[in-house]
Amino acid sequence: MHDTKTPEIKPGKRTRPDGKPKITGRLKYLTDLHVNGMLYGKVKRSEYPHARITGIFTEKAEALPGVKAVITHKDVPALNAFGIVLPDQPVLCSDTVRYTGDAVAAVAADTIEEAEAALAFIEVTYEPLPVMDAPSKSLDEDAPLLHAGGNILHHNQYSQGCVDSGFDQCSAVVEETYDVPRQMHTYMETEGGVVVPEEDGGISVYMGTQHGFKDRFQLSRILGLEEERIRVVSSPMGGSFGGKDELNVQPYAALLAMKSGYPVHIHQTRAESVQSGIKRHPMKIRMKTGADSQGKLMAHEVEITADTGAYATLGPAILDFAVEHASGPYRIPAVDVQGLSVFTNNGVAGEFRGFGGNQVTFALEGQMDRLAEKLHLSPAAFRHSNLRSTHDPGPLGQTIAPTDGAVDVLKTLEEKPLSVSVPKPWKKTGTGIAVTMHGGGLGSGRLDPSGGRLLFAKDGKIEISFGFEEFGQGILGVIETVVCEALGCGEEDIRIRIGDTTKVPPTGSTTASRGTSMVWQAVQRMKGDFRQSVLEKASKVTGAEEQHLVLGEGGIFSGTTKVVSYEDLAGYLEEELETTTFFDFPVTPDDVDGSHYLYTFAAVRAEVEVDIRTGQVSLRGLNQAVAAGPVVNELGYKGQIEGGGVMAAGYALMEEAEMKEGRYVNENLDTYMIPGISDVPFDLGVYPVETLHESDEHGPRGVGEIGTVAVAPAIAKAVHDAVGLWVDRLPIHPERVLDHITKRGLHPWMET
Amino acid sequence: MAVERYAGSVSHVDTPLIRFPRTLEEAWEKKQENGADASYIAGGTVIQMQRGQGYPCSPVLISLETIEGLKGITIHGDYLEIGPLTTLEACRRSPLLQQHAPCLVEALISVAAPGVRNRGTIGGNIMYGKGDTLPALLVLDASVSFFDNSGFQSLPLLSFVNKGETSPDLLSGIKIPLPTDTERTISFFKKTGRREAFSLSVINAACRLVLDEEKKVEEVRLAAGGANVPPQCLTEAENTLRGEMLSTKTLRNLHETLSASFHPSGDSYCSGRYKQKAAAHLILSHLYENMEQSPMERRGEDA
Ligand SMILES: Cc1cc2nc3c(=O)[nH]c(=O)nc-3n(C[C@H](O)[C@H](O)[C@H](O)COP(=O)(O)OP(=O)(O)OC[C@H]3O[C@@H](n4cnc5c(N)ncnc54)[C@H](O)[C@@H]3O)c2cc1C
Repeated sequence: MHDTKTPEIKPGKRTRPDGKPKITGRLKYLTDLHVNGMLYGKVKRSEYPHARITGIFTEKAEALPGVKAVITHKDVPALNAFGIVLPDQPVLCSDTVRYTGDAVAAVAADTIEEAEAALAFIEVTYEPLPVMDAPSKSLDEDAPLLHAGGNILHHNQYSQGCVDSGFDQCSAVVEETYDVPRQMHTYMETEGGVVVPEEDGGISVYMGTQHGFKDRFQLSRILGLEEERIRVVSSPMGGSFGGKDELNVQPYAALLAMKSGYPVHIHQTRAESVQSGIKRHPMKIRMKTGADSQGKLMAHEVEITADTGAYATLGPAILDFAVEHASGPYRIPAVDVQGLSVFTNNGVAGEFRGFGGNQVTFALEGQMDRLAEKLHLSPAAFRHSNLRSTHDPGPLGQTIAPTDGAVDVLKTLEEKPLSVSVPKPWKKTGTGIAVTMHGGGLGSGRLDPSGGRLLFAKDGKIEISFGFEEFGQGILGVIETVVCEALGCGEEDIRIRIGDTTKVPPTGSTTASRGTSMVWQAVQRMKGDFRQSVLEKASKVTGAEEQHLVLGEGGIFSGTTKVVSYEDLAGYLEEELETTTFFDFPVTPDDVDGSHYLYTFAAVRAEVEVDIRTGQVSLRGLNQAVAAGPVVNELGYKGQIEGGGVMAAGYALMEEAEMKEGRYVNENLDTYMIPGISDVPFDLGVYPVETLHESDEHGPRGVGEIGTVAVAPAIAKAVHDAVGLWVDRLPIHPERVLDHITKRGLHPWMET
Repeated sequence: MAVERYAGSVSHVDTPLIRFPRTLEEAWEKKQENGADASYIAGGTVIQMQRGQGYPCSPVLISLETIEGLKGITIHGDYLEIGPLTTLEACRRSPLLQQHAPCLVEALISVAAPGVRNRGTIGGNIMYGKGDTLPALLVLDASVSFFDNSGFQSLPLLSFVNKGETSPDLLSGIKIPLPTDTERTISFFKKTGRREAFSLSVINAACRLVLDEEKKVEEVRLAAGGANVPPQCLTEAENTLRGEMLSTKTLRNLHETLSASFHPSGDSYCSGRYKQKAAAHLILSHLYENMEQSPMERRGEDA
């Protein structure tokens, strides 16, 4: 059964099921877990960004009181490597270290203090090697090879039409190189949890991840242990944003637990998390874009260089995504995009909310604003005359689900009034807009299975299970809303199961804005069969005619009368009633590898005040119109867009995980700045565009990423509007702004 | 309280011994006994942060929390007296400081976040050497008293600050002269950080000036500080203002003097030149605002 014709989802202000325990501090995270007799683990990471290891000596550490196990590369039973796309990162390095987050050894001891002390007694000798701290250095002909395959992780390109003849027809061309920084996810809960060795020789891993089954697979490959003997419990998490999709400390806790025979708890400190955790890819993006005298885009040339750090993780897929989104929601006849992802000895870059889209969108929207100015057109008018329309192909020329999203979001935003600011002689105000489109799902040609399970259980609960994870994004709220609305039951009647590989079906990763979409699809596919099987049983038990019965709150109803409660009905079950579904994330029918089919759209308007005394930029208004299909849970939707907006404001204005010679400059949150509540504008609007094209049966889309994508370019344009500075580098540094203001002589107290 | 906090800390093996003297004399003696191995601790916010940054913590901490008479804000004759153990938050909320030292309150508002202000003390802010209250206290002509083996001593804050960070003195009091003519006083503290709030200063500046009947600058104090910039009085800049009217010409002269005489050093975040420019504009913009709408002009408008 598949009745998805009319997505009838009313926006509700449902309180998320995990809301209260979270805000009251009662929720136990996996890092809070305490298992009797557990040891504490610590990981010894490299002292150098690039070096040859000449010796690892653990004897002294092993002899220390309280120390129960010390591991090195010799203790890895099977594959000493991990990585979602290709396993190139050593679990424990044996001969070479390639960044300061590389692990060389790990210790388990009775207390954290003993484990920490033991690390100091593990002696590692190194022979330092030249540090490739920028892609330009790694790409040098004489550069040492960081991996056997060379220093280029991945190359991708896309072209259509002929850019050279395109530029010939242009009356305005702009060329600019944009630099975007390495950004840290800064989840509140740093990586960690507990691994428990089980009696049967298997292990239970209680650690957050965005894809429990993938962790199970990777751990199985490292430990040489069948997947069935590894249980991964992976929710709830205190934030992830893409940062915990790859393995982090799971292998160390697992190896230590297996070697010592005790449960092992590891919880990284913030400093350890900064040093070892993945970050958003810094990129250098050169764009040359031209439009004709009518203001029509004609040609677009793009060169992306991503600093992927020491190992691959999801670097190739992120580059592909950046290449795909480099021309965004615009119709451009001639396009040439070249992308290169380069290994360096910097921190590993990987998955982060927006997945390469945020970087290229900053550059692309910067080009649109520069061109609009050159052509004396308003930024909105210039965009309108170039935005894609309903049936246009996607950015890689592929067929995509028909959509008016791009035009709709921009129109919606244009109708919203600007906020009013109080004039001060040292404030200059400005407004900027930006538009983007963002693909959902992993992309064509990639395994992207999903599904779900509905169960009418022996205890009378309607149990809904997915292999998704809750990391704060609100999937629990989505599941509750979708199931209650699809079946008609109440939230008390259902039990949600996620985040445990022994209890849930494999329904794919909780990434790529796919969760909401997949939950909705699965429930639509299952609800008919499930309803029928429960009502059949109810009819048998009560004698009422099946066609008069419906599922309702607390039980089965005939009209307004409850004929039997779920609990009573369950008493008659010989076996539990189960409905399952498995399907793939929808992809384009065309053979365009990696391309997307379902896109969401956002238009952002930022209003800023620039303090001309200091060059500081204050965000005063951030309004986003989002087209992602019907809203499932209004509060969850708003939370994602507002939260994403604030995270992106940090990207635009202050966040940079800067590295010098392969080492992090800011090692903790005292100097790595993220926005605080005072940086959040009071005027923070979210305007959903809920209509889908009449032929669109795919229902609501996920909005986990879209709220982060186009914020930075809108802020950058607002700064330009305020003081005339074209921003080509993030974060927007007050010193550059002040230099510009000084040059332009904007200080009234300096006037003669 | 303090013991519990450290016992609960998971970060390092260096759990210090904490002493709770009852009197200043006793605290001083404990410090003499342990020499470089001991530090005074007030709210502990700086000490805890430095531990987190990997600096070793002194093996002996002498808590000042249990010493009577080190807290509170009172008026004694022509002076406001602030006990060094008064929390930043208590200072911020004090009606006496709001009335008589508004620029100090502006500085206090800009310090850290409520949690830190509830624990952190004004004495700790001064002794930390980089506290945001220092430039404000400097323009208010504050003096400090401290305790050592020869008993209580008193020094103008500027001289005390210039003695250097390593001074082992036990700060026992802060005095601010009560302002005489608030009607004709312009005072402010401005800070720029790396975000809107809860950031250390990139640079800050404070100013207090009193205009005479003819709107000429009669008395003036300018100071700056923040992060690695030692708190300092901007004496040459003060000299360009004294006796002048607040006009665009005066402001331009002031700007020139500041460019020539104030040379803060840069850090990993920004250049020294930036700090110099930002401090200058923070000061100039407020004088400019007061130039446009000086109290007397405003009165004229009302008439
Ligand atoms: C997250 C964070 C943010 C911060 N942001 C700011 C900021 O924006 N602006 C700012 O100015 N500061 C900031 N601070 C620094 C600091 O917390 C405050 O300045 C506070 O006032 C320090 O007071 P305390 O009582 O906690 O000092 P403590 O940590 O107890 O002591 C600090 C130093 O002063 C000495 N000391 C304390 N009292 C005395 C005394 N009576 N006599 C002699 N020596 C003494 C101690 O030995 C120690 O060396 C921040 C701190 C943190 C942790």
